[in-house]
Amino acid sequence: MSILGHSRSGFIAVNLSATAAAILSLSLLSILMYILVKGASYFAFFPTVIAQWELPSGEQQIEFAQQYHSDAGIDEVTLLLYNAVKQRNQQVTVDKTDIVITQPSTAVWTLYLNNGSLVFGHKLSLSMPDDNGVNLLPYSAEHSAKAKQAINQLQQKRRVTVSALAPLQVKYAELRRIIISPDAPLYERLVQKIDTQQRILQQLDWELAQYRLNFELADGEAESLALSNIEYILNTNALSWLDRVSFGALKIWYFLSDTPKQGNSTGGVFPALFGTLLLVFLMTFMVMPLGVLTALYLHEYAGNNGLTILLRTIITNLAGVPSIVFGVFGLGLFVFVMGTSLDEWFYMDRLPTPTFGTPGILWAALTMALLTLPVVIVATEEGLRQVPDGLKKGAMALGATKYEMIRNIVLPIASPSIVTGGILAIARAAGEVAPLLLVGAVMYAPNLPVDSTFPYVHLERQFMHLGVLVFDGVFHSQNNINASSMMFATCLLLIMVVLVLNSLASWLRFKLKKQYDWQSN
Amino acid sequence: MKLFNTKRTSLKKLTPDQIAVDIESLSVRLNQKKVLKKISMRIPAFSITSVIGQSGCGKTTLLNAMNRMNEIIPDHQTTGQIWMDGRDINQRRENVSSLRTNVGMVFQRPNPFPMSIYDNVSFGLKLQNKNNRRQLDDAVERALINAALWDEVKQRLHEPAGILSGGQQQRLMIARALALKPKILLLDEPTSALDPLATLFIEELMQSLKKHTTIVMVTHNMQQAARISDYTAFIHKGELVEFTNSDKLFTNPKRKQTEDYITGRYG
Ligand SMILES: Nc1ncnc2c1ncn2[C@@H]1O[C@H](COP(=O)(O)OP(=O)(O)O)[C@@H](O)[C@H]1O
Ligand SMILES: [Mg+2]
Repeated sequence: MSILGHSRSGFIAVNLSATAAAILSLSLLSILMYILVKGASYFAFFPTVIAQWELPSGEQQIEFAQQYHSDAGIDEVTLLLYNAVKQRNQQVTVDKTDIVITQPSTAVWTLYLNNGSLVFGHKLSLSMPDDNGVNLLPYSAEHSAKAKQAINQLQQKRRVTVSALAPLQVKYAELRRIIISPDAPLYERLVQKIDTQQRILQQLDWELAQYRLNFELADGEAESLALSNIEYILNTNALSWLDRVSFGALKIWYFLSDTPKQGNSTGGVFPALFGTLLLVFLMTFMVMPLGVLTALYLHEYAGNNGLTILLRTIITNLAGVPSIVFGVFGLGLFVFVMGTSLDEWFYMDRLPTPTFGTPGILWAALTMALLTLPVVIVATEEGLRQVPDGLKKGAMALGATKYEMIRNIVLPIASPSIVTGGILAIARAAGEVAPLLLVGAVMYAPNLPVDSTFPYVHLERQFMHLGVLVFDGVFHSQNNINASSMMFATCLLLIMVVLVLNSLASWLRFKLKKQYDWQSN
Repeated sequence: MKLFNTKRTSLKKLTPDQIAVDIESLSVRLNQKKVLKKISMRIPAFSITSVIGQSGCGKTTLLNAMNRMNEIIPDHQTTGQIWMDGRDINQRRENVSSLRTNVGMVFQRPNPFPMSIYDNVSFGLKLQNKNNRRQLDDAVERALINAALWDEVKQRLHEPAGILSGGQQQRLMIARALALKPKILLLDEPTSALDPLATLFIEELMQSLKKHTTIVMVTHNMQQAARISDYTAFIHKGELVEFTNSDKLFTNPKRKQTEDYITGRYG
């Protein structure tokens, strides 16, 4: 009887934990699915429609627009249209009862502008200059290819001019600092050179602006845009499904390689992706040696005295400090104390403009390294504890010094655990946002921390971060479906970055574990 | 049967060059506990010396004193002298690393490193920056031949050492020490974790090794001590009670304590 009762309560316990596990996996799965579905809509195809509806005043409005698969409800329609006056996209939600028509149309073309805007128009034609002046040509694949070729040539010339101009301007700025008299011949010659180049640039810009696309808006208003400002001209409704898929793939590529546009509400996330990866790598390079050395010291060298116990207590408690506090600490110590001193020692000539004395990716990486240090130390110590004493003695008995023993025996055997510490640190650092906002991550950074100007790596620069972009995106996403789906796509990318880094590290751990599996003895 | 081989030099009549290790009033404290008390003994070269005694009497500590492995314990204290090749190895200027390559050690449980057989044997040589591939190959082969393991592993030198059986692993541990050509080989209960056949293999191996090496072996097995060792030392509670020819010690012990131990009165 009692045995039966016992097994019955055991049965309930098993059931309970199975239920809990099921709930847990289900919620994880639903989070992933939610983000996947929401994020994927950033790359999805939406039909372009002619929409006509009644305004509260009784007037009728007619627009070309993209119609979203709205989740606002079945009695409303959400449209993305282009406001030609404000020159930007606008999202409107219309009651179904006010709608006169919404009808997909192959007559409507979608223009994808460089600045991220979508423009809808019909009755397309091209303006192409030649020796006799500007010709008006019907819009066709052949003509637009020709225009594109001419524009590419002009843009190539423009790039050459710009790169010739840049060093002159740097020199100009330098001369302005050291030469007092503005009529020194050196100075004058330089100004002249700059002038010439700038005039060439203006001429090129003017020529570029001659290649235009003319079209009509839904209300019959004539519009024209410089072709060089347009990325794509597509008749989206006329695309075959294969074209739609490949256009989606192209959008994914743009998302990964392009910069954010329109205040982070459209475009790509490349600077943020780059910033996140760079931050994680810098952080890893800082935290791993420090964490492993600390753990080695604690486990192999430090005696079991009061100091060690104190150190261990500090490390455990460090893991419990809220991350924002690390941000404040990083700002206070790294940026204001260390950065300011660095500026005073090495960048005196640039003061009062700070170099390292402002938030930047170096300080952000250092802050994250501090934040993840306890994780690495604890994981490493766990690994060190697993190294059998017999192996250590065996190595010492063969004449190994303590250092050689640690290098050849202890570290290899503990390496899977060390890598585990690295995984945990990376996962934490890639997802953390709050402290980063204080020590260097920004919503928009004009430059990457790595570029082609000397010294190529600029660790003092502020940077963009996927997590920060998500944080920023949440504020746009209330009333902008496109921005919202971009935010979810960024979430998805962040998850994938962490996942990829994790699987890389797990693979490494697996390899190491197989190689140094002393337990198989 | 070597049990009553009487051709052995008496310990009292050793000439200086017949002495491999000369221990003079060695005392060791570990964590403030007196483990060895004023031990003096002369270990003859090119012979097998057994150390017997109850567990916890200090046998391992005595072996560890001979290659200064006691220093691994943070709180240790050693007094007295241990002379080898005319040097007192307890002096501060002694190079402990090179001492340990000269005095090899094999532990109770085989402890192969998580590496290939080849890398296990060449571990000590690589520490000395002997990285020439040909020379390493030769040294590994010679060590494995001397440890009577070569024929069993020559086809799989680069497989992990963990795949070997316990007895093979223990011979690998001997090969690992032999690769450094030690003058003295310390074995701490080398066969206590092995089956009888593997034990027999190791015992035969030790007989052949003593031509070139002085062997000091701790054992719990008195038959083993009597069977293979030339000399036997009996230690009781950190003190050397009796040290003499094995056949003498096991047939005609001088001290009451020794007799009690070998007749099984201490368990
Ligand atoms: N690290 C240590 N700290 C303190 N005491 C030790 C330590 N190692 C061994 N001892 C003590 O030294 C004595 C002898 O140990 P050991 O030489 O290992 O004995 P045996 O090998 O004869 O069994 C034991 O009583 C043991 O308690
Ligand atoms: Mg012992």
